[in-house]
Amino acid sequence: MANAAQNVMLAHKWEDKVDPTGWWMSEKLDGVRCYWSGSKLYSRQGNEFLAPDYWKKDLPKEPLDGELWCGRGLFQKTLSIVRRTVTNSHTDADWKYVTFLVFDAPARSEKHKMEYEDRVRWLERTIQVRKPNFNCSRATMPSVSLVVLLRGAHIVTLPYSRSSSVAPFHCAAASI
Amino acid sequence: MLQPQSDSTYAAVVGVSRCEGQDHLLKMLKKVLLKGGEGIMLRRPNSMYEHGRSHSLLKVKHFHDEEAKVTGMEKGTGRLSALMGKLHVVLPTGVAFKVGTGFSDDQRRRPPKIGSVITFKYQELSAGGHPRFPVFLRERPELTWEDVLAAARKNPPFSSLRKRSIPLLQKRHSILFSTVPSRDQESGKKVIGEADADDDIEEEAKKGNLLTTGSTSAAASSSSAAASSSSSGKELCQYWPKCFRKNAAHLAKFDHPALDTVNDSDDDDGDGGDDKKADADFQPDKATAKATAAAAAASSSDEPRAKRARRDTPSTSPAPPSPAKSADSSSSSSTKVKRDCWYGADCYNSDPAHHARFAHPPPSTSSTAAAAASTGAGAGDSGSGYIEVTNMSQHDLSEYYRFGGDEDDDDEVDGADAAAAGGDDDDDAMLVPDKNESNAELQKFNENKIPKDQGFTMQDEEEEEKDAAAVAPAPTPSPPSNTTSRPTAAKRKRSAATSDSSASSGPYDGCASDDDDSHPDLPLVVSDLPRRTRTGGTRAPSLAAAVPGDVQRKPTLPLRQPSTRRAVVAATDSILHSSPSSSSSSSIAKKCPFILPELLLARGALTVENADGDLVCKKCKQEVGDHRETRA
Repeated sequence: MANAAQNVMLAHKWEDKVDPTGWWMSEKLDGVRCYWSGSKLYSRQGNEFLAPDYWKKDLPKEPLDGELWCGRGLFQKTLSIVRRTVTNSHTDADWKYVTFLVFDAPARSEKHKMEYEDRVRWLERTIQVRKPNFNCSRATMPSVSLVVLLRGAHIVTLPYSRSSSVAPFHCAAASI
Repeated sequence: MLQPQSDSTYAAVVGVSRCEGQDHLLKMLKKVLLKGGEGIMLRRPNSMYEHGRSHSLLKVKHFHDEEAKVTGMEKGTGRLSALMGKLHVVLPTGVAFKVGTGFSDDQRRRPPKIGSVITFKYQELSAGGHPRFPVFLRERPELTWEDVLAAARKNPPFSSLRKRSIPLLQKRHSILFSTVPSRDQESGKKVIGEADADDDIEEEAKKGNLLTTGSTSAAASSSSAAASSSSSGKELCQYWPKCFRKNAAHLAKFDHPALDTVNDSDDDDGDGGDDKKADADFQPDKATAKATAAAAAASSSDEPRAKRARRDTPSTSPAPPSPAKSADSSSSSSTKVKRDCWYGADCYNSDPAHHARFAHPPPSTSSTAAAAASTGAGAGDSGSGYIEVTNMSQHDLSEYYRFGGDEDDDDEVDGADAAAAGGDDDDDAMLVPDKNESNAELQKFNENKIPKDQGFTMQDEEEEEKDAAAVAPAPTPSPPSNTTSRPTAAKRKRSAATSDSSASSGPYDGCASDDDDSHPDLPLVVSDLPRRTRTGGTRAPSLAAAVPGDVQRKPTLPLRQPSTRRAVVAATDSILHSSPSSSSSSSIAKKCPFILPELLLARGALTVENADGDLVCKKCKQEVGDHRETRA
């Protein structure tokens, strides 16, 4: 895995002769490049970032390519947080400032032959940043789906969550 | 019933938007640069993930360029060891830096002449105002430096971009085309505020360019204040509230709101809803004239800062330099705004920033050091307090050393003997103790021993000192950390060495054998003593000068520096408190033949002011001044 982390996708410089029409734009983040193997975070040098468990627990078990980022202009602080080799409660607490901004899912490309757009949609489904987020359980699920249905929605997608006590297919079945 | 879901707060998908053409790209680039971003990434549609550098992924960065004057150059290394490696250049603003890339080998062989003008490009400004990643572009033989300076006057360098200041570390809420989730730090709730989203999301969503859908729901009409770069008033200091700079220019340039009023404002993690509220609060009805500075800071900085600035009291933006020397200024009122200066009224610091920051109450107020000086002069057995104290500094030192030799001995205290020893003592003999003389002297003194546990009372004293420092600006240097550990080690060694010697053996006997191992300690005392003697304010230099004197370095002297302080404290303590029943000050004086009142006073910790304004011992409430008079 560390090998894959050392071989992430890198960019060339854009030149005028390339017509950007139709290309996908995203912000270039001044963070630390990071490869999520499914269980561990690796730097481009193949070293592991020692993220605390609470930080990692909601990440999917699939390889992700992204950037550890604290904010614009905070590259140095990001670096100082994520590069620590000794962990304690204080260093763990600092990780709450760090966000893993994912821009690709390598395994989806390689195993499932998904194109970029599909991969991004898959990422969107997998890593949810949606407004209504409810803690799903067997008890609350019917009422949640009821509320959502009453509001005119047709489907409740469940964000990926290992802490959720309900398996995704249960919820999907209940929500339609 | 519906609880917030604990989903991936710490992860988010980078939002993407379809590019409509080069203009669109450049517009977005400008936008993101204005917000402090780095640039734009371009991804080829329908591409797969590739390993390594790929042409499916392009980065678009922006470079600024400026002119600079060549002031020097240095040789390269390695391949370029025979060629020019770096140019030293200076900007019209006076910022000097080096340019080491962008040259062809030919240009390195014949580098631009010193004094000529070059154009370089750079990516951004560092927090220090230096261009980051400067790259040489071309020589400008057609330009003279005067031309550049004239142009810079009209259109100063970097005017196009804001000097970059490091934002506060907190969760960001948005990047281009997507939102970044954050979590309320107290409640643990996940927060995706309405104000978090940038207007670009809404904009792009209207056009249908966004590939990602999740972020559109969070799109809101109001954009965060992070983008605005206009600053009319003072900017909030980037190190505030922990800024330690006292430079007047810095204080004048950046805002440092008072901390007392904003202590509670640290609780927020800048969640979106609150930000909106803060923005709303900044409507003119609330932003009164008083809060102009705060409002300016708010408009130029991130939201939480703005909130803090709003809560600050208008009286506390950098206080104007006021010496606070009026005779009747009550210290309580002055300490409300400023802390008292360490050196009190004797402060020689003329820096206006220092005066702006610290109060300098006159000697009549609670400044213990100043009061000590006045008491010493009033008691006066030889002229004015300060001069005498200065002369005594060597004396003090010898006292320190003598006590140091005694500290570890295990004899018991005998008050009567102490008094007797005190009667015989002579100042001159103490100043430069001959070995024989001092042996006899110390033999006597040895019986006037400090109880073993006095060393522990000293710890209490130290704590009380700290308390005293909080009340009055009494300088209380804490001893170096080795003062506690070292004597015990030395003691162990010594007790092993003199295990069979009688308990009445003079301290010098014990210490003389320790001479070789106590000498390496000399630098310690050199560094330690000036700190200790700063207590007297103006005395520090003279005492520091006295330290290297040969007198104190005589190898016959027992130099047990680290323990001396404890010994002195313990001795003074024992003298002041050994007979709590005796209320007459003369008896105290008798028991104290060697302790200089100045030492007591200068320490400050043993003394407090009573209702009459006299200095009294902190514990027994006996006047220190009496002690001195009777001694004379």
